[in-house]
Amino acid sequence: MKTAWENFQTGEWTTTVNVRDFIQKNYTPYEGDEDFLTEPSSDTSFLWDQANGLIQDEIKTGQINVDLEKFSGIDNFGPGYLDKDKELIVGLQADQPLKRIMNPYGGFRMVENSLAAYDLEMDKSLSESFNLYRKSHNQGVFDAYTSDMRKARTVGLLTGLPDAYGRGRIIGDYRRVALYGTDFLKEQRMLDKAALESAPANEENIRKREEFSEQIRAFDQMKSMAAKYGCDIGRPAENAQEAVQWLYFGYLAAVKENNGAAMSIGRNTVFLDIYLERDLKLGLIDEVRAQELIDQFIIKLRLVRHLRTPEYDELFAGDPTWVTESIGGVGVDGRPLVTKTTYRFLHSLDNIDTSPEPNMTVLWSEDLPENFKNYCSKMSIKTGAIQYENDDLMREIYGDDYAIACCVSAMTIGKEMQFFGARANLAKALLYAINGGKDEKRTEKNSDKPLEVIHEIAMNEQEVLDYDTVLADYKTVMNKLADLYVNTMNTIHYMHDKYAYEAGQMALHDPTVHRYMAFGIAGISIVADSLSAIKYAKVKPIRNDQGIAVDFAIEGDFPKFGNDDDRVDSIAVEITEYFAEALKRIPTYRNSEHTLSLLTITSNVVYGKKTGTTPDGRIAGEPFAPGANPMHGRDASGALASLNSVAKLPYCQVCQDGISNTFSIVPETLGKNMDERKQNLTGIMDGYFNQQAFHVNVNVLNRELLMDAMENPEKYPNLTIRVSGYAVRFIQLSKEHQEEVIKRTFHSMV
Amino acid sequence: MLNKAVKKTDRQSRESAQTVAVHSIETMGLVDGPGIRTVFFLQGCPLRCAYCHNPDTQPFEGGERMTADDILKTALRYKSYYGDEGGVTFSGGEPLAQAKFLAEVMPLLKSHGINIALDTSGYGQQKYYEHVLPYVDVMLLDIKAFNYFVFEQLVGAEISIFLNFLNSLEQYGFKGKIWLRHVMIPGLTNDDESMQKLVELALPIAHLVDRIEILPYHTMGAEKYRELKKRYRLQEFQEMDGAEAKLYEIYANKHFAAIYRKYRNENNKDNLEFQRVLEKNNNFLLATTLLNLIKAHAEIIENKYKLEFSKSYREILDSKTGINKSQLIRKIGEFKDLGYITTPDSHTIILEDLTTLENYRI
Repeated sequence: MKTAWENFQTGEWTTTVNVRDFIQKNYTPYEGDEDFLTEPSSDTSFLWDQANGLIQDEIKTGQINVDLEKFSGIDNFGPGYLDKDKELIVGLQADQPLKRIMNPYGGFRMVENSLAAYDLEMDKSLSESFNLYRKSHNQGVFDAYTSDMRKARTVGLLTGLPDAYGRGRIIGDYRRVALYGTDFLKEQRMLDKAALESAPANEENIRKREEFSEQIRAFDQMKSMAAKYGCDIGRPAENAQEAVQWLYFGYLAAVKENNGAAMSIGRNTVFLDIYLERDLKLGLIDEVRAQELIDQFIIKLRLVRHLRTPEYDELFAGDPTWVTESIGGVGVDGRPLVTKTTYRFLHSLDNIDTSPEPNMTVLWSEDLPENFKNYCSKMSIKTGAIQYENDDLMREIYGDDYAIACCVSAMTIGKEMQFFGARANLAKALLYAINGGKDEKRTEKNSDKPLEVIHEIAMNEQEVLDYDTVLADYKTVMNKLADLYVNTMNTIHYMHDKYAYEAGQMALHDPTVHRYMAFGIAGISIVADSLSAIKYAKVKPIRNDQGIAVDFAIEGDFPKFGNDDDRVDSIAVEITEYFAEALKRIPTYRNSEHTLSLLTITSNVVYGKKTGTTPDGRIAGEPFAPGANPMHGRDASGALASLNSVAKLPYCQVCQDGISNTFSIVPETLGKNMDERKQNLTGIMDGYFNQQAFHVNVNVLNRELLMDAMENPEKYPNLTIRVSGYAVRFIQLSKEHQEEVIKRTFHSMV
Repeated sequence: MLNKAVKKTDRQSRESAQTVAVHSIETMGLVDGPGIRTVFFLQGCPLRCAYCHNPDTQPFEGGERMTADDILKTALRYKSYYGDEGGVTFSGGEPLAQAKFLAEVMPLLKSHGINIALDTSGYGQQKYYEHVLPYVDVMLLDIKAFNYFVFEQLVGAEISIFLNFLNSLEQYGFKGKIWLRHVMIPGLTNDDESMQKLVELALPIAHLVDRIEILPYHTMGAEKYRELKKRYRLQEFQEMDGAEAKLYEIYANKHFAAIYRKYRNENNKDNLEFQRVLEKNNNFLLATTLLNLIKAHAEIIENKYKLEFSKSYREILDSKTGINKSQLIRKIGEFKDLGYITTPDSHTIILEDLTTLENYRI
């Protein structure tokens, strides 16, 4: 460890695994501006041209490359390169760039369907032996699902559940590989296991022993995988290049082993900066090389792919992997967690094109250096690739070494994980309160009787809906839904642990982890507006022969969410809090802590399709607003009123898994010139987060530009826009999604 | 739509208090005055400008009634966004047509430290001006046209009232900054002569002028006329090209600096009061500071002065100009936009238009 740690200040981290302590003792905050940044090296540009060419080809031809001979695993694939001589940072998931891995452990059928969609077929012996000798997570779940769980899933009351593929949303502390090397980490885990020697063999301890053993094996596999690239990650990284490389190997192991929806990478820029600074000081590298290491690391992150069905890609708009990197924030001691490498990371958007991945997530604090705030604003205006989350809120809960998984899910790195749980469609649930728990679209098999999903709910027969009646019935529905939802999640994660355990990622956690179970709500703005319509206007259901309300006649006006109007905003808050409480009453698998998000990803379009006409006047099939956004065009008092409404939704203890808000503005509206625009955008974020708001996606672009991109996609290969909690290539969105984005409120004024 | 939250005020106090009709509120006004602003569009306008893009704000009927207290409460909801130069903008309609109300609400806003901008054409309840204008930090002054005939045709009112307003601003106690604005209509005012006349009109208040904006005429208003079943009188005119309007804006600003230098040399050379006002004008402050920095920091490259600093130029200027930080950033952006300077990096400024900068030397 001598060379590896030379010139570092020692501390607790030298004897026990403690990356945070290492960072705090050794990092150099940077409060200057972006002037030191350099252009990409010619090797970087060359490699990015190669990589980007492959990416664009895949988009254009719609054909993908899959390794059909092997299943997923940390050490199952030979080394692969873009251009071996030019790459400073090496490593691919399989032996060729963009070659996808088959992961059958989450769900075998999903793999088969994905392959079939591309006219591919896996090696016969693989499918035969897997089906003969193994069982997938998906099979496990369906063995244990109740009929109500299946129904809730079919009608779209609970959707996006991770019951057919990897759950993701786990962040390994990949920095540990660089700082300690896998040998030391493995030894530590062996000690953890040894400590259980005399513990009673109850369910908990048996599972722990088994998991530790899997993790110990995972370390061996990581080491062997890296050795195929000629690197010995058994020992700690000795210089900046190794630090980036080792860290990347840790992450690479995760994406070789798992195909979780969101495979986020953590919070790495400050950590890596310590190594880069050391090498810069020693004169071993210069700024060009420092930037080169970061740019090439990012190229690798942009090449991560998972095998998905085309339907999945359609749902999530492109091919997102949520390689979320958390950037910035402030330490508990008040020093900004901003370094030169923080700038270098964002600067890649200039050097190697703007791109949806990695998912750049800036942790915004009032106390961030002004230079950094303005640089972020500038990059947002230039690239539209950044999202912002409130560090001042999260630091209180998670300390200063947390990161975001996926879009908005915070967790302390290496100490916490979450059981991802998608979301419940609360707009549909509201219709159930009116329709006696019966679905407004689906009928029982071979009959025209509406399908009953939630039981023992009274059918509302009022001519004009009465607020108190509807609200009371709605609360009953929410309670029953909460019960169903938590138990569905318990089933899913029990099976996931059993059949698709993430050994590599969990090896890079502490032996004891805190677990969250992350629930979600879709359609909150529709619920708020609908209840507001019932309360402040006259809403008459129009019922079909079966008594199902299929349309609503609305007389009079009513307050709408998104106008900073407490009469309706308070409804959104009340419902959110009520549902959070309802969930918390139901016990969870592994005693995980209930959390809740207001996040739809891009499934707001699909939720819309599956949900009938709602009492707010939204017609059947029309998309929901994304995340916690107000409905399209209903925020009529300008963007800040809209932001203020969303800011009222409570984060701490309620929606502690995140509240997503997407904000689009036309450049001319943001100010007359770049200096003004930067300053104004910074001001908007300071003002918004100052009110305890949680998250905002910022898009600065013209509607005309998007319309042109729809017509002429070839002109805009890398046009990136932020959607709910992540970014996508605009040209990869389905036509429906593109239209929805264009329709979404653009804040511009005549 | 109005912010309904503030409408729940006690009915009784409402009945005794003065109210104003508000057509709408824009909570994110970023181009109607400096910084982030809450814009209240007051209902009603005495003018009938042919190109008015908000004809629905013209009648004095309609809108939602708000008290001064309602306005204050709404503004306070957005105070966290205002920073050190944003605030409230009263627009319309013609806000000065409600000057009596403004005289009540403005002191109230000021007592909460809220910056106030007024977007006006100068036609309103004159007898209240002295109770309104002293509270205005920034006036967005709309110059519609430059001669009697065109003005009356376009606006439906006499230009003399506007000129009178413009000339009496300081008598009414106005001490703020002025953003001159002109909506340029192709075929009507897109020529150098119009810009020269604009500058000429502004000479009496030139020491207060902070920026001159030429806004390209657009036809988006036409749709609203159809909805309101009103005749749209400008049908024969095309939209104004944005890039062309920008060129005229640059021309107007540079011409302004040149003419004004001559004017002040002739008229106000020894007027100390006048000099004091000038020393608060950001154009003069920034230009003078830049010129003063030449001696210590400049080298000549390709016939231009290049100022190089060891720190970022913002820090240097921040300590030397005496302009507040946000305003300084805005002013630097504007100088870049108008081509007076360029900034290849954050440590370097190139003086591109020495003539105009010299014209702004105090």
